[in-house]
Amino acid sequence: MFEVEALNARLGGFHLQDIHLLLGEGECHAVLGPSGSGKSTLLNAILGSIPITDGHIRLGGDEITRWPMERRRLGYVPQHLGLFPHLSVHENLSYSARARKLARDDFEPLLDRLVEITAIGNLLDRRIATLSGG
Amino acid sequence: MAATAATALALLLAIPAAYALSRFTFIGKGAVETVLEFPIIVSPAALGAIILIFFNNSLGEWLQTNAVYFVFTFAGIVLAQFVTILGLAVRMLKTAFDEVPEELEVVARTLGGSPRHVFFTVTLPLARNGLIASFILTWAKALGEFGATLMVAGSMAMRTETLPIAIFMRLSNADIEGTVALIFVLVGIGLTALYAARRLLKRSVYV
Repeated sequence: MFEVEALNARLGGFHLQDIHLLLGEGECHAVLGPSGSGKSTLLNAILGSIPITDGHIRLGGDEITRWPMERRRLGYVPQHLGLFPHLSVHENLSYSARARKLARDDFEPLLDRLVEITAIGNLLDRRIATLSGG
Repeated sequence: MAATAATALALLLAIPAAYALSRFTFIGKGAVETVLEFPIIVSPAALGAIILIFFNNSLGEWLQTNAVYFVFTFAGIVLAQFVTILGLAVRMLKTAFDEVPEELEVVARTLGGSPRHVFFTVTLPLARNGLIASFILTWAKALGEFGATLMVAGSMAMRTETLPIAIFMRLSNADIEGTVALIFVLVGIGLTALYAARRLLKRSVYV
């Protein structure tokens, strides 16, 4: 369960006011609105990349409102994919595990399985910037 | 050697300052930018005079007595060069950081990277070429610094005689051959630095 309660956030001159959201586990939702209506501001406030002035954010029962971004357990895929162009495919796939200081034995088997399923083994050493965008 | 020391010190201060100016909004940001960039537009001779006047008051005298003696010393050369290049370093580094998409930093944070981890694994590598170009250009500017250095460190042969001061001294003594030789050295270094910086800034850091 993901819940946003009475969220207020400010970005420059834009003020997001009194936002409420309730997302059940496994649900898929879309936030629609015209340009400048605050969709990105809402997303950034939930992620924690901009400070909120009031309200609460809860994830699975945890009050994550004041948690730093890296602890919120929220995944984010931006418009331009958000791949690190200076890193290889393998380094991109393992970035999170290395950032969280996981032992190689804990994540390498899962990584190997994902690589096998997606058949990208021959691309692992390539830098993202050298790959075709399709 | 003085130019390298001044550049290293300037970059040590300029990197965090430029990152803060690039990423954060805070009260007094405009004033901070103005103060940091002030040495870019003010006469180096005036800057040197300001430094000299500072060391003639009680705080400056205390610093020289208890910390480092600057006036007419090698340390004075480093200080004069540092003050003149700091603003340029901050401006160039801010441009380098501006070109790193903040979006990627947000992605890295959501993947579990602390702000420090993200800075060293995403921000710095992506700003690499701009950082190196900043180092080269501020180093070349430090090497060619004349006015402030002459004011603070003087022109003692083999002690505080930098390349531009050596050019000035030889010209003052009508040693035209010596002057021209040193000019060629200084211009050669400057042109090489400019060329290297242009090549780096054109090249993508991604490949």
